[in-house]
Amino acid sequence: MGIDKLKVKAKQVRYFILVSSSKAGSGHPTSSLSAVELTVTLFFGGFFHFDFKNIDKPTNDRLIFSKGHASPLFYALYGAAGVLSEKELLTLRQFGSPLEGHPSMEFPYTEVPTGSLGQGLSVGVGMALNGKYLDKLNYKTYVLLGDSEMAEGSVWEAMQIASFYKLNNLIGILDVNRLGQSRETMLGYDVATYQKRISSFGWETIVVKNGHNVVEITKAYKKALKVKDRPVMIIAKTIKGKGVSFLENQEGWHGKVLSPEDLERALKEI
Amino acid sequence: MIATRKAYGNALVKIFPKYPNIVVLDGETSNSTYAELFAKAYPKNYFEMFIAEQNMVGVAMGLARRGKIPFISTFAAFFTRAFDQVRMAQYAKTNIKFVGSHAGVSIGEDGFSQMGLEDLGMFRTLINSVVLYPSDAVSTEKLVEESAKYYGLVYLRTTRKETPVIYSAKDNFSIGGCKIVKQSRKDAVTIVAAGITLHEALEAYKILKKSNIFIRVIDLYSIKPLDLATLKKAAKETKAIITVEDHHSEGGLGEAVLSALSSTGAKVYSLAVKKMPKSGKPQELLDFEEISASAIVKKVYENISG
Repeated sequence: MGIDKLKVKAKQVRYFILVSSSKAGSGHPTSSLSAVELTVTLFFGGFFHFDFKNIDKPTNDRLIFSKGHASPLFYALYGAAGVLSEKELLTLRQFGSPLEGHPSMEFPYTEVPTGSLGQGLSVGVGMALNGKYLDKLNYKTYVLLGDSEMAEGSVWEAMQIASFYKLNNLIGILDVNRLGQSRETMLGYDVATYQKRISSFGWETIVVKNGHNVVEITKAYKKALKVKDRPVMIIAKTIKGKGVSFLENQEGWHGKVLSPEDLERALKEI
Repeated sequence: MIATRKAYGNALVKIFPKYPNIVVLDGETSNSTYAELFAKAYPKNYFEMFIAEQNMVGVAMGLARRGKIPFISTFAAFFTRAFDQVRMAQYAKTNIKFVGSHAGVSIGEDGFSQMGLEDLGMFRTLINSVVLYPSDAVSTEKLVEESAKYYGLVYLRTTRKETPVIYSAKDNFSIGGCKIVKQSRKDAVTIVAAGITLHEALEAYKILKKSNIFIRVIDLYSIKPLDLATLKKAAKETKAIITVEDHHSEGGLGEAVLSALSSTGAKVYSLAVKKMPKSGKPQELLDFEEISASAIVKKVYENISG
């Protein structure tokens, strides 16, 4: 898919995020908006190999949203892929809907339930170990991580093991949007320190200076897929709430949704 | 005499050809949990996870979601630090076998930091979980295979100390089952135990028999689900039920039995770890916590004289 088409997809995904979370009345739209281009490029830029009609296909790539609170984005991607209709997306968080507040097994495309932070990378290690050493299949395992969850010790446990087992089929995507739930993260936008720490754990690191630039992101994925002997972390500087001026990079918007009036304003901007 | 933890390792090696999707992980304790027996026999299906239990559980989740049957082991005590991952595994509706060794005060000299005393409670709280606690090598081997056959989360608790083999290869063990190890028409009370304390109960049986007092002894190797019919029958036919476990009284075997029998009005007494444990010989600690044969004998006398 070309650059322009990716931008159109990104717009559609932003639309789904905003309308579904506003309809739900709760959720994490700003944490979703920061990773739109990162995941849209993965899904539609020719990288994510997944047979949407055959979930059980062993060679399908794997995607784990370790930052499970970005579920509006998670579901929006499947909306953009034609798996979910807008009507279905609007059932987000309703009792009985497979689109639960954080990804659950009720949604058939969920690899593992997430939402308890710091756990997704370990699950990715398990899937990558399976691909490389047991089933010997060429699928890749992608894990989307939030920057706040990098404070969890279990993330670094997973980092060490992944490099010990040389899991070049494991690709982490770190969404550095600077803001946590109640305040700035310990490192804020200090991408250089993330890079230093992660590479010292034996990972290849690729920094994306503008995590909303699909050209730069495309280059990063291409590079990541060429690494032969170690896991890869794409460290992308992003803006929380990206695409909506009054949400961008603002504290106080974590886990908050837009009112009908604000939604109208926001939809005009994206 | 063979430790159930060693029987676990032996069992994995035996059953692997029948269950080639088994993958074994261990938190760098494999020479204690005896996962090393499997690692040596089938190195391609063994992954060392080093001392990082949270990650180990997450990795198991990933393997299980790709169709493998992970058997993951460390000391029972150390699974507690991965409980958040264990908790999430229940919602993944997946297939993981947790094996916790060095359960209880009976590990002795190493002291409380190494003693799993909360593990039964922790694993019992999970939706649809299975909690198994075998007492000898035969039942351990059979229950390892039952675990492999069963799709879901299973916790199997093993013991450090060597214990006598009390069952024969012909005996069957199933999830939800139990074994009545001793019974007669004259049984005064029933002792319900599992793992190490079953052997204490059998010792108490011998002591009491000399005084012509008979007790029923039930091996509740499947703590969840449990064999309610057998427990109810015992509650009806004997004066009281005495549970004995090398685990804290909260959340363990005793509370499982008590809540299962709550509607029957049966008298249930719990012998469990209630005092702060310390270093010492295994037998000294079992005596100190009043879960040894002598404590059982004392409790039986209290019930028949009352």
